[in-house]
Amino acid sequence: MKRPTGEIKPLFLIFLIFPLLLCGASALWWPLLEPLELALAVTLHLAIAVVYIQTYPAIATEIPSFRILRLAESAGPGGASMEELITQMGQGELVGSRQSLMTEDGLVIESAEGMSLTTAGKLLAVAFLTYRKLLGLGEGGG
Amino acid sequence: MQIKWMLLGLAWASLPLLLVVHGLLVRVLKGKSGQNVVLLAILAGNLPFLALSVWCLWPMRPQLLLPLLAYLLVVYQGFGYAYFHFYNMSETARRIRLLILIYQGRLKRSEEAASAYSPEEMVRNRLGRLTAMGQLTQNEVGRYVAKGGILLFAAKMIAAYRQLLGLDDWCKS
Repeated sequence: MKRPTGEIKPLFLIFLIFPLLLCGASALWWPLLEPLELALAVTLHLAIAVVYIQTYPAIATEIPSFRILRLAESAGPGGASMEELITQMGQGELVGSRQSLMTEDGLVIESAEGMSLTTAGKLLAVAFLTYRKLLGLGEGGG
Repeated sequence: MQIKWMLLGLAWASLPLLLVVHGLLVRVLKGKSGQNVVLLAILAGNLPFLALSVWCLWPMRPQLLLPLLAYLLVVYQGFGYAYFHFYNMSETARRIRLLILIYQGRLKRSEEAASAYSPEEMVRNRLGRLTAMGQLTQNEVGRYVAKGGILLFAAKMIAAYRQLLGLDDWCKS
């Protein structure tokens, strides 16, 4: 079976959109629960679904901080220098993999003029900028 | 009917509550590791959330109250976990950083990504955060040594799970 492209899109479809459609259909055609009970069930589902959605990327792709920790540990008691860690991390997979995922998820469009954000990409960028401003924090370091 | 509305309201109130508790702690604990602060906010938020839930659902027989509180606490922990990752993404995620750079017009072409977000900067940022969180320490010659904290344990667990799934170990690639 072909692996779905992107990361955010398939997760949202499987764990949020599809179950919500199923609940909507159930409410309309097979009303097993009354609307409020269904809303409570959906809330519980969302609370558990977001746990998986947030955990999956850690399993599917590398987390640089985890990689640094394991590289430092495998270096033994003498530890690892920053230069050694930078060499072992490798630029291509760190940034390149993220860029291609953003394109596959429909957040970024690449054209001859360069890269631009889709509406979803803009919304995400604004949401994170606003959130950090609300907390009184500066831009994240990445 | 009224209790179900109350339950629904309380479950969704956990999200703004997390934001408020986190916002307060960020201002009180200035200079502390962001990840430690958000973790503390989520754990500490359990108390006001539980207190608010009991106050709203009071008086109710314990046989009825306990399952409702269990429901609310499960929802709170799920949202709390997601909130932790949301904050973490805002702080550390490469793709969010790239999205913001593109949004601000600071990154126009994919080839520029390497200079806009260099591996040196990426590793330096993470070493700073991991040291501030007490997961790494620098020895007398400035080399980084893993302290064997909770994040190293999590990294090993994920590596073991990837092995179980038959995926490659990216630390060895």
